[in-house]
Parts: sequence; structure tokens; C-alpha cells
Amino acid sequence: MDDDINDILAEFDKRSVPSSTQDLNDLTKQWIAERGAPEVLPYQGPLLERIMERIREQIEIVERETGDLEPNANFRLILIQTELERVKFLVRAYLRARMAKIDKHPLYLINNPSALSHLSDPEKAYLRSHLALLNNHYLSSFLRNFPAQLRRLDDAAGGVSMVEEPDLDSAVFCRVVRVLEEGEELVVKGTDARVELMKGDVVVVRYRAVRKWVLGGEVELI
Amino acid sequence: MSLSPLTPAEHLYLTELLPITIIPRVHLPSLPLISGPLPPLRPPHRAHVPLWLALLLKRQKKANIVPPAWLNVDNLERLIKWEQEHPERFTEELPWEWVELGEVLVEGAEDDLVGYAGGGGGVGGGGVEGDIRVLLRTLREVRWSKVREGLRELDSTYLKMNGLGHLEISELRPFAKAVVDNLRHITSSKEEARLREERDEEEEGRRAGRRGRVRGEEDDDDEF
Repeated sequence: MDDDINDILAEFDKRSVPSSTQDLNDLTKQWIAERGAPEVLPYQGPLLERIMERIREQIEIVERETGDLEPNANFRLILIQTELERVKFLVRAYLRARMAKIDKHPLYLINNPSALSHLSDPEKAYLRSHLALLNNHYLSSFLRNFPAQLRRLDDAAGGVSMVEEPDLDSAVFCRVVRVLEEGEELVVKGTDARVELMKGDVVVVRYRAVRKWVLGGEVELI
Repeated sequence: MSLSPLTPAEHLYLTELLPITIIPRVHLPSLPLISGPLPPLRPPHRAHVPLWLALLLKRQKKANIVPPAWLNVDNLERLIKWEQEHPERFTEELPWEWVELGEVLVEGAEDDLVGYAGGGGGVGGGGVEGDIRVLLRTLREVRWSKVREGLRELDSTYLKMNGLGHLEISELRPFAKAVVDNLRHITSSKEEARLREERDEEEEGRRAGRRGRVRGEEDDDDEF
């Protein structure tokens, strides 16, 4: 009898999700979204801070309890450390996915205030110093030999900008996780395509067509 | 490459986050994990833990894994039959990460799968466990051949792929993405002309009627 109750309680516990669990789920989703989106998404500052705080707490536990040679305590530490490494992997993967995009479109980001506002302060500092280094390097290695009017890296002469921008029309894979508002439908601009999206639908479509829902959380990139 | 699909290792990471039921063989006090406090393990009470932890316990023979309800010989046989009978659809019964889960569990907890394989008692154990591998593979192939058929439907706008698993999508992603992107480049001049037309019409309408029936779109990135 006791068994059953415990099982039921365990089931029940599973349903009320602690905030820490939610944070980890959220970061996992953000990481995958970042991997799938052509642009840099808004930085999840508070979320990252909470998770970093948890990481610090775990490291403290490990530091406090290492040296305890009792086998059971030892096993406990192995579990804590294994999870710690997994969470660190997630944080790194998230930041690296963002950095890859910062490296790809530095000039676009620096000249576009709304995109720039998606970066954290360290990311902005990285973007600026990386760009400065790159600029100096190009200048000293070959640009100085060019005529002055050809030295710019963000030239837009002749109607063609040399600044590479994220292609917001590139195809993304996504899943509808929340019911869209009444009357909202997927419209691919410039074509006849319009379709109602249901919760649970998995679609491949241009990023631009689902962008507002990705940012709003109704649609999840996969 | 930030836009490449998730790697198999990354899929594995995601799969290992999933909760699974175990029957612990050792006592373990509650554990303060980042993913939330782990309840104390008290054999023989079942517990729900993340898969990575279950696999770790399993490797150390500290627990047995209870396979998910869909992962057994009878059910897999039924699903394969269903998939064959419905060439236009994919079953909604499989979990999102079914390929990954199946593989990880066959790899890491083979004997537990056999134990739940449904009445296959006695010496034939090896055969039953072999069956699960074969069945998982067959199911994958049946579905994959339907995916290949479905790719004909790809065009430059959108395609629904309901019922496919996460890994299955990642596998077809490079191809599907290339097709959609390239088709879009081919039709882009036509689309741009149409967009311009639509915008002109809108302008005119606004000027004429001052009714301001602006479409709800507020994309700040229309830079055609």
C-alpha cells in the first residue's frame, strides 16, 4: 500500500516543476533556437545568471565534500560532478552558438542597433575588439596598399553592400508549442502560401515567416 | 557553422535529459542537482530520474531501467505494420526522441529491455533482444522511405513534417534546407516583383481612402 502511495506521490512531484528545472529546460531550448536561427537572438541574461549561480553552488559542494573518502559520499559527488559538467557544456554550447554568429556578421551587428541590443555586454565588447583587431590586421597586411577609397570593409558603393547580413529568409525547422492567437496564420510574403498552424505542427519554412512567434515563444526552433 | 543541424552528440545530450523510470538497487539520499532536487532512492520503490543518471546507475549495477511503454517487441511490430499501412502519414504515438532513446536504451540497458519484452522467457533471451534492435531498424527504414517520398512535396515556401522524430528531422535537414533555399532563390525575382506590387497597392489604398487598413505586419526588416 505504502508503495503505491509513494509511486503516486513521485508521479505527482514530477508534475510540479521546480524553477531550477525550468531554467535548465529554458536554456536548453534557447541553445537549440540559437543553433537554428539565422540571426543572434536576444541574450538571456537573467536566466544565465541564475544558472551560473547554481553552478557556483555545486562547485562549492564538490569542494567542501571532496576528501570525504566514504564510498557513498564519493558516489554522491560523482553524480553531482557529472551533472555539473553537463550543465557547463550547455552554457558553453549556448554562448558558442551565439559567438559563431557574431563572428559571421560583425559589421552588420555593429551598424544595426536593434540587432546589437540582442547582445550581452561581454559579447558587445568581444564584437568591438574582434572587429578592431581584424580591421588593423587587414590594414597592415594588405589594405594599406590599396587606394584610400577602396579600404573600407563596409563599402556600399554601386548599390551593393559588402556587409554580409544574416539571411532571414533561410529555411528553418520549427515546432508550434503554443496555440497561436485567433486568426493568426502562416503567411509567406510574396507567395500564395498561407496556412493555419496548429499546436504540435512541425514545419520547414522561411525564418522571416515565423520570426515573431519564435521571439514570442509560440514556435520553437528545432 | 552555426546553422548546421544538431550533431549526433548534441542529440545524445538532449536525449539524456529526458526523465525515465528506474528501480534502484541501492539507497541514495536526496541529491541537490541543478536540474532540481533528486528524490531519495529507496529500493524497491520506483523513481523518476534523468536518463544520464539512470544510465550511470545502470552501468554500476545500482539500478534497473524500466523501458518506456512504447519500446517492446509487440508494440514495435504493431507500429511497423501501422506505418506500412499508412503511406501518407507518420504515427503520433512515438516520442519526439524515439530513435535516440531506442538506441541509447538498447546500448546501455539491453537486459532490462529483454526483461520487459513480453513473456519471452527461457533460453531464447538473446533472440528477443536481437529482435528489438531489428525492429527499431525496420521501423526507421519504413519511415525513412516515406520521408523520401514526402520530399517531392518540398517547395520554396513551407512543408509540414508532423510525426517525424527529432533525429529524423536532423538527418533530412541539410537536404531539405538546401532545396527550400535554392528554390527560393530561383523564384525570388518573381516574389520581389509581387511584394513591390502589393506594397504599391497598399500605399495607394492608404493615400486614397485614408482608412489606414495596414496589415498587421510590423517587420522592421523589409529592406528590398
